[in-house]
Amino acid sequence: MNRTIDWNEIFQLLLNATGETLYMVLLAGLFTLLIGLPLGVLLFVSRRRGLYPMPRLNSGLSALVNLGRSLPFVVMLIALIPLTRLIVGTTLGSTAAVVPITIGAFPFFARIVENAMDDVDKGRIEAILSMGGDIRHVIFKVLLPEALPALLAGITLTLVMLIGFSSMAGVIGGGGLGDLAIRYGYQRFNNQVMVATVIVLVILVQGVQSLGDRLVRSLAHRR
Amino acid sequence: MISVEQLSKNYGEGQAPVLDQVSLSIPDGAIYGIVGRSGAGKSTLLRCLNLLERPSSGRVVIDGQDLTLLSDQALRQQRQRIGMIFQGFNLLHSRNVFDNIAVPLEIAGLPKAARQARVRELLDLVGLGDKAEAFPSQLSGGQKQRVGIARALAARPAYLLSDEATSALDPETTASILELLRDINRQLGLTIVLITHELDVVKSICDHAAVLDQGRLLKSGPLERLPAERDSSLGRSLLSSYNLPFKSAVPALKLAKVVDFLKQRGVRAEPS
Repeated sequence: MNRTIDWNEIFQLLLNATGETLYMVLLAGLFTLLIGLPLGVLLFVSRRRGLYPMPRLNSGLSALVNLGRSLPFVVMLIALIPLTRLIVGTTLGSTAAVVPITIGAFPFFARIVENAMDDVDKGRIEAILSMGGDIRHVIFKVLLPEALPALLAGITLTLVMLIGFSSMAGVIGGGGLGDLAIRYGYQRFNNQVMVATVIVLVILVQGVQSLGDRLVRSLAHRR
Repeated sequence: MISVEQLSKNYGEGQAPVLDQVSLSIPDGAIYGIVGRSGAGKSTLLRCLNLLERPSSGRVVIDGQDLTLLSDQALRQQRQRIGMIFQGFNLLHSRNVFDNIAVPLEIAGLPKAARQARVRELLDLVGLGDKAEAFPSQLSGGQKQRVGIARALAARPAYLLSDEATSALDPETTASILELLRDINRQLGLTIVLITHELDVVKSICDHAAVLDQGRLLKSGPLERLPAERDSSLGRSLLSSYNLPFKSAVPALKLAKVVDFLKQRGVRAEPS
């Protein structure tokens, strides 16, 4: 069963799988940002003592976010199969995997955004209000720019989590490095491919993390 | 003119009111000091003047308009006429000095060229012409407050509210900031309302004052400027109702000196 395959073939397999993983992570990351960022801001401003209190909406959204975060990702991956088919038309392949990955990640990212906003000094918000600023000014002149380092750190954290999610998408045939590990490492006991997959994943995570850290530092430096 | 009528603020049933039926009037061109211990309600009173806090009852009338009756839109318009500076400066750390001062002008919708000209003027006014590109984290406390003042003045307000603006500064810096405020009051005819727990601040620049205690107004009115006239009844009530420790207290001794002193006299600490 355990046949060795030549390195050329492994390289080709890894290249394809890495490409699929990056495709899933970047696309799901983009959607996570597009949904999670406004949702996080909304969660923050709609708080009971927030800038624009909407307690009912807030508790509704909050419950939804908690629901999204309480399911283990593998369970969500399978539970969302009908929804994925509805949106993408198929449940196989990397594009289909983007749906559950995004849905698994955006509630987490929304909470990160909400917490980052909460850490912005309330006095700075008050200053903008005292100048006659409205909620739009507060969001775009204070909350987002002042929280930018925290937001970037949160995006880094989310991307690393997305790499993990995308690997699990291999379970339902999503492609990518996780899929490779399942097909070769688990089903065929091919240690070469397994080790190579682990190495690539570690490099990916380290790369994302150090890039994120560097960005955050360069911003924090002049502030 | 700002006139405050029967202003009360309650945070909940059964709790003592933070402000209790406060009425006072602040004439145009005044430097009006509101003093009181911490928890006296000064900060709440100041925040009611631009409705950052909404009073539970009573009116805040500025130039004939009752702010509590205005729509959100009209209130924001009024706030552009009321600048505010803060103890913690509250500058935006993501922007440099120049862009911080420009914020109220952006809110007011001024075109870019006009904004830049106005910011240059203000930088000169507060003496920070060479710091335009600096970020707040690179400034001293006094410089930050100058930026705060420039920012508060940017939209050419008629009133300036000062929330303990010098309380985080050392004595020399405090003096220079107070001097700047007095200059602004004279040159621009700006009415300044300041709250402070430092009696010296009131004595050095205010021409009117009010004393607040547990949410109640104890006394208010014009102050006599001359030292000989400090014994006017308001002056006395300021002093008596506000026992400042540093007027009479001996400067704090350094612990090490006390220990030395005791050792010299043969006093030994018990081994612990």
